[in-house]
Parts: sequence; structure tokens; C-alpha cells
Amino acid sequence: MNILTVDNLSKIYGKDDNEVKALDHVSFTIARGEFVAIIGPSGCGKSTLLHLIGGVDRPNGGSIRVDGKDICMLSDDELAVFRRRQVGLIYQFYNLIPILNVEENITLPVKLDNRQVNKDLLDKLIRYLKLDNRRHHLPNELSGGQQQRVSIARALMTRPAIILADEPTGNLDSKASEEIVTLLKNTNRLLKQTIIMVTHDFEVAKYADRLIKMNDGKIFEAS
Amino acid sequence: MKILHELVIKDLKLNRKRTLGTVVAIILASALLCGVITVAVSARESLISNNIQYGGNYHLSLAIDEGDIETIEANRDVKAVFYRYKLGMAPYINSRGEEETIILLSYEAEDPAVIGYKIIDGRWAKNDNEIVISENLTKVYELGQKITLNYGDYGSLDDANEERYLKAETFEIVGVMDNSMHNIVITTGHINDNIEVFLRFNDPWHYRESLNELLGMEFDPDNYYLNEDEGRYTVEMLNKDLLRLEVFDFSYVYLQLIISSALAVSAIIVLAGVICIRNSFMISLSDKIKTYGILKSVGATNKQIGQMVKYEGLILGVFGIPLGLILGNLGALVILLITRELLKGRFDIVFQVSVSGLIVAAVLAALTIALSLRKAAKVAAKTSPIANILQNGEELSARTLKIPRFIEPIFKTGGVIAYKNLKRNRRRYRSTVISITISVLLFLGMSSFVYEVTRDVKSNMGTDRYNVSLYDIPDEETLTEIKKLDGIEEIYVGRELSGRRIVVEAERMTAGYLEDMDNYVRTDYSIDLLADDEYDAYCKELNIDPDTVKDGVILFDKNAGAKRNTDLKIGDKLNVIDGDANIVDSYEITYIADIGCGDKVGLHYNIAFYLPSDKYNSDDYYTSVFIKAEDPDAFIGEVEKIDDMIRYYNDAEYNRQQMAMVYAVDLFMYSFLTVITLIAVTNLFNTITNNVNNQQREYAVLKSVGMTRREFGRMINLEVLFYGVKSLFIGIVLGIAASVCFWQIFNYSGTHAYVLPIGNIVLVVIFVFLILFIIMRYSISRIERQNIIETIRNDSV
Repeated sequence: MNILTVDNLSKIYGKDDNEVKALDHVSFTIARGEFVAIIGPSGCGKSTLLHLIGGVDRPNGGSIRVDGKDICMLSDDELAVFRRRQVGLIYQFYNLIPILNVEENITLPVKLDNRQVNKDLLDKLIRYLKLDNRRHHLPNELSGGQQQRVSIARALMTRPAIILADEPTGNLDSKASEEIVTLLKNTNRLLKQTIIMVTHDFEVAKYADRLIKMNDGKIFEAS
Repeated sequence: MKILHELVIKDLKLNRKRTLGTVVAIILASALLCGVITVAVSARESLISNNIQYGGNYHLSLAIDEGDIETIEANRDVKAVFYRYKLGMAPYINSRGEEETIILLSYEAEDPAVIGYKIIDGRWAKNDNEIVISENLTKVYELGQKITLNYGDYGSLDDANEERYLKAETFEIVGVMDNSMHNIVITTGHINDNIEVFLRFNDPWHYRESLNELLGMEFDPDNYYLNEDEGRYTVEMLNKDLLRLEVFDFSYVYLQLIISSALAVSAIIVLAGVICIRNSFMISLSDKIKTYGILKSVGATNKQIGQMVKYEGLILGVFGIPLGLILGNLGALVILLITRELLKGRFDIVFQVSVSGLIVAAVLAALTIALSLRKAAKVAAKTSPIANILQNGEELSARTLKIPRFIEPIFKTGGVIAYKNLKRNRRRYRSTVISITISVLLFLGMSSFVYEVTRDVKSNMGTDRYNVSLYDIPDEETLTEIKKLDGIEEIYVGRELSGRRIVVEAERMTAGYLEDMDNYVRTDYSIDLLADDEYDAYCKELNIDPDTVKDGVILFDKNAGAKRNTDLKIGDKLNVIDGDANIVDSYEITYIADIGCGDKVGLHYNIAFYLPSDKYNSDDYYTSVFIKAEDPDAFIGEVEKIDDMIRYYNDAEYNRQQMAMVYAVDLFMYSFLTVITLIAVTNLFNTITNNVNNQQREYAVLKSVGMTRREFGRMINLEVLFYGVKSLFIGIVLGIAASVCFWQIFNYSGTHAYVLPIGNIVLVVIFVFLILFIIMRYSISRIERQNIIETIRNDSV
């Protein structure tokens, strides 16, 4: 069953002479439990595509259905709720809240939803991501790899429909990169978590089950 | 170094809003300092101007002979500004038909205004056939009239054998002087040997030495008697007030008040200014700390980095301070013009800008900037290059970000983030809280001060108090006529028995009285006489039969707290003494009243004795009348028609003067408060907009993980709440303490209960939250609609 259906999606930046077609009528589907890597050169529109799927930006045309719901029709507040419940975003530069500690950053989407934190799940995630002795540390007290693991934990905490990872290894060394991608792979395998990962690094993309290649805002190969 | 200076200027230009914030703070602080100094200088000049206007522009007057003139003129320490010749005295008949004396004076060519004479009608005499009379004489003479004066030296009026008149002369009245000189006429061209010379010291700062040199003796200006004969000349008058003002003698109470107020206010301004400007520089520093790190990594020394910060201060100061000085002087001018209107006809206000004052203001403003950027320069210079590159000036740790346990359960995640946002930069948080707290404290303190001053002044006026008082009532017939006039709401006639005092032994005073009077004991009191009708009316008020009490004194004995001042009883006999303290009579206390006879006109004495007046003639007592008139000005006009020799005191006019002074004080207070508040608001604006700008990415991240706009708005509101609650709590507590202090200072009589300034507290709470809310909303409005991902990306680059 398809968890994500993208149909005829377009995104344009700028106006008139400065107009740039970041996405040009892109269509594809992703089944539940897939680990998909979107690969392409810098500026091909892969990150734009990811952000549209994550609801942090709006397309100029087309539709995006996540778990059957067309998110392009949602209001800003509905999109915010969608993001906190249905999507887990992992960024290249971690984007943790510097004044919240590890535990607080991980549980942030749950608390924003005014729900009780599942302590078992939290403990499991912290153990799984090897953050046991960093629980009450602030982001400035963590290494880059540790921060990215916190970011992954935050994304997993709400058991979202899809995890979207935008260049998750872009700011890490090779060892940490391997760790992170392996984690994502294991998460996909063990928890059947659907993951869409954007990368320009083919070595990283190899971990995925499927590759979608992009160029100039279009998908030219999906395998 | 040139490249670094160029960098500084470029940064200032690129970050216009931040630069503007700092410049506004500098301008406000400079303006306020300059304004205070200009007002203080103007206040001193106004005092000097009024002193000269009413007292004359001279320091010293001496009685000399003609032969002394040359010596005086040759003295390099003094300059003669006026010579006045005492021609003698002349009799005249006043409007009551009584004989009084006029003093006849003369001068040469100088303007008599230099010794404080003021022409109010006509002109000064130009030749020896013309005179100018004092205003009170217009009841008998008029402008243009020719009068003959028989004048000369003479002694007591009672001495009929004295050779009275030496000369008879006819003069034409060409002018009228103000009534500050009573019964004076002045002409010109008459010279004799009875000279008074009016002098100014060429160097007032060394007037004591000049005085000793002139008189040929050690002259004590603080302890002398007029016409003392020990020196070379007789000192008639030493204009100490003018001298003290001119030489900044701080023993002079008015100067003390001006200087101490200016110093206190300047200290507050410097404190508020330092906090605000320092905050601005620290904000600027935190924005540029990466740049400094990069500069250091390519070889800039710590000293050079520190110099950059100082150069920024210099640029902003050079731009902001002159603007501030101009604005400050303009502000002072506006305030002084308004005050001049308020005090028109009572006190002349002079606007004076002094160059040294401007320099002092500029130096203080520069000092404020220097103190403010000292810390920023140090921090910029000392932090390691890599720390600068990596950090944004915040030092986050679990300890610094600890929050009270009740925050999360009550305020949820938004509240946690809001509270931690306050704590992330403790220095900035502290300066913001202090800014708000100072403004709250000043507002509550000043408004309490104004309230107590106004209450004190108004209680002395009192709506239940007399507004006209009359003196020198010649006889009971005149009094009867006055009593018949329209517009009298209440009247009390005080007939004080002359030359007689009733004695109360010190031992009869209560402990309460002694405490109120600080153990000062007064043992003799005047005796008030009441006419028959008044006595009967008073007894009726007391519910007693006048016949049972009229053979003795009625004692009124009650202080402001309705307690007895003495332990005297009915039946006690009290002695009456004369002017030489001889016992001449005694009276028995026949009744102790709890209502004073003068209470109905607000004339309250703690202890008073009343007797019926039928035992005495009108020559035995001195009559004063206290009236609550519907229209005091009109009433006085009617009294003057009955007898223009009656002295009157228009309390309503006095009350108007008092209130005008109170309004003037209000004006200064609230003007000062407004500018201090503006400095605080500027500080708040800089801090909050900067915080919001720095946290744009975090706000975008929060939205990306699912914070709705409403939740975001709630989080911002909570940040406002946390800022406001802490500042207000401290400010209000200190403000209440200040209001209690002012109440105690002004409540020396113990009559006023303390009033908690609830209205002002509510006002200040509303104002603080409103300002914080507006600033927050303005800061957020720009980033609210920003694209999430663009914000995250831009900040990551």
C-alpha cells in the first residue's frame, strides 16, 4: 500500500526573469515500509521535494497524499499538526533547540501535541541511539554525531508515517556518517519505518532499497 | 587599523536598525543629561534674576560721607553702581486721616532699577522738581499731582518741641513704584552728605577679602548687625543671597536644592543610560562575535579588536551626543516656557544655556558611553578566536537553564521554552529587568512624591479653610461694616489681647503633646476675646449657658489627633503675665471645649483661651479677621472700599501660587520620568528585537516540528509575562517602599493616613505589559510569515 503519492508536483521560486523551476511536474509513489533515497546533483530540487512532502513548504501545483490525505489542502495549523504527528524531519544541521536538553528535544513534538510521553519508548530510543549518558546534556555539549542521533530520536518519537532525512550525513565525518545511515537502515528494517532520504552521496544512497534520481527538477530515473 | 575602522562603519551602515537603537539610547541619555543641567543652570539664573529684580543688582551698601566717594571710586575691588541720598522725612496724612511719615530719597543719573526699585506707572524723575511715589501713597496722591513736602531730619513724632522741618519743596508726581518700598518718594538731582553707596564686588568669589579690605576689619558676613560702626564705613546691607548664588555658595539652601537634585537626577540618568547603552553594545557584540573570531584567526590582536569596539562607541557618540545636546536644550526650553506660564507674575523663569554646562553634559554622556562599552570591549578582546566563531555570545549550561518545577505543569512546553529563553543570556535578561524595574520604581516613587506634596499643600489650603485674612482693622465699626458684606461663608474675628499672655506650667503638658512637639514646651498663650454675639454663638455651639462660664476662660485643648495637650481641669486657676513676665491677673477655667472657635474657618490652634470682650476696649486688643469668602478677589475689593488702609492677605492667590509651584514640580518630574521611560523602552526594544532575530531559526525549527501559530503566539506571550512579572514585582515593592518614605517625610503632623498607590500600580502594570507585548509583536511580525525552510537554511549558512 502506498503511504505517499506525489502527483504532478511543481515548485517555482522567484518571478519573471528570476523564475526558477525547482520542481517540474514530478510524480511518484512510495510504499509503506520502503527506504528510498533521492539522489541528484546540487540544485536539482531534491531537498525542495523533501520539504514539500514534509509540509514545511507549499507547492505551486500538483498534490501530495500522505497516508491518503492531500496535505496541500491543509491550513497552516493543520499542516503544523500534520508535521508533529505524521512526519519526522531530520536536517543536515541537526536543528535542535539549543536551550532544551537531549530528552526535551526528543519529546518536543509529543509535548507540543499535549500528549503524555511514552517513557518506555523514550528509554528505548535513547538506548538504541546510544544517548544514555547524555540525557540531560544540552546540544552544545554533544558531538555532531550525537546531535544527529538526537535529531533521529526526535523524528522517531511520534512513530510518524514517514521520516524525511535531508542530507543527514552532510555535516558528519565518514565514521559518524556510516553510523547514522546504518541507524536509519536498521530503523527501517526493524520498525518497518518508511524513510525518504535525500543525499548527493552515492555511497550513502546505496543503503536505501530504492533510488530516485533527479535532475533539473525532474525525476529521470527511479529504481 | 584603517581597514578595521572601515569594517566598523560598514557594519553600522548594514545593520541600520541595531545602530539606530544604540544611537537613540545615546541621544536620549545625552538629551536628558543636558536637559537636567540646562534646567539647573536656568534655575540658578532665574533665582539670580528674581533676586536682582526684587532686591537689586548690588552686593553691598554702605553709609558714607561725600569725602569717601573718591576713595570708594578708587577701590579696585568694588564698583559703585548707585548713590542714594537720604534727604529726610516728611509728614503726610493717610486715607484714615492719621499722620504718617514719608521718607524722601534722591539719586543722580543712574537707573533706580539697579537697586531693585520697579516703576509700575509713569516714569523715573528726570529733574529735581519731579518725584516718584511708592504705590501705597496712591491712596492719597495721584500721578501728575503737584504736592508740597515739608521735609527734614526729625526725631520722634511725639516730641512736639523738635525742630521738624528744614525745607518745603513742591514736586510733580511723574511715576509710581511698586509697593515693596512702603512710604517712599524718590527724586533726582538733590545731593547731600547723607549718602548710601551701592556696590558690586569686581570679584565676587573673593568678596570676603574685598569686604575686609574695604572696611578695614575682619567682617563676619554671617553674623553682623546692620549699621555696625566698627569698620571704616557702616554696612547698611550685604546682599548675601545674591552673592551666594553668584559664587555657588552651597550653604545657600536653594542652591543646595538645585545642585543636589541635579546630581541625584544625573546619577539616575547615568545609571539608566549605562544599562541601556551597554545592553545595546553587548547586543552588537553578540552579533559580531563571529566576525571578531574570524579577524582574530587571520591575525587581528586583542587590542585591535578592543579598539574596534571603542571606535564604534566613538562614532556613535560623535553622532549621538551633539544631537542629544540639541534635543536636551530644546526639551529644557519647552519645559521652562511652560513653567514660565505657570508662574507668570510670581516668579520669572530665565532660560540659560551655559557652555560649561554643555561641556559637562557632553563629558557625562561620553562617560556613560565609555562605561557602557568597557565590558563589551573586554569580552570582544579576550574570547578565543574559535570560541568567537562557534558561539553567539551565549553560554548555555544545564545550570543556567534550570527552571522552577511549576513552569511545565502550568505553562506546558511553550512556557518552558519561553522561560529558558529569558535565562539563556543572563546579562541581557538582568539589564532588561533592571531597566523596567527602574522605570516602575521611578514612576511609583515620583507619583507618590507628587501626591504627598499636593496633599500637603492642599491640606494647608483646605477647602474648609479661610481664603482671606484682614489685619489693621481700626475699630469695631469698621469690623461691623465688613461683617455685613456679601459673600461671607464663614468668618472668625480674632481679637488678641495685647500685652497679656496666659501661663500654663510645663508640668501640665501631656506626654502626647511633648512627643508631638519634640519636647519643646510653650508655656504662655494668647487670650482671644469674643464680642457678645460671638461669645453667645460659641457657647450655643458648645451647648453651654454663657452666663455660667463668662467669668473665666473657656479652654480649647485638642490636638490634630483629638487628644488633650494638657491635664488642666475646670476650676484650675491660671496666671496672666504682661510683657515683662509680671503676673498681672488670673483666670479660672470655666469650661473645656472640644471645638475651637476658629475651626469653622480652618484656623486651628492646639490650645486656645477665650474670654468675652466686654471687659476690654478696642485699644486693648489687636484684631484680625479670617474669612471664607465665596469670591476672595471680589471680597477684598469691597473691603478696600470700606478702608483702603486695611492690610489683607489673599490666601486664594497664595494658594494659586502654591498650586502653580506644585504643577511646575509635576511638570519637571513627569518630563524626567517620560525620558527615563523612553530610555527603558529603547533598551527593551533593542533587547527583544535582537533576541527574536537571533532565535529566528529556532522558531522555524519549532514550527517545523509542529508548533502551530497559536501555540507560537502563546509562547511569545509567556515570554512577555515572565519578563513583566519579575520586573514588576521588584519595581512595585521598591516603589511602595519609596511611597511610604515620602508619606513619612510629608506626614510630619501625623494627620494623613498612608494611601497605597493602587491606581498607579495598576497603571504601571498595564503599561509594562502593553509595551512588552507591542515590542514582542512588532519583533515577531517580521518573522511570523517567513518560510520555515528558508529561515532554517539561511541561518545555517
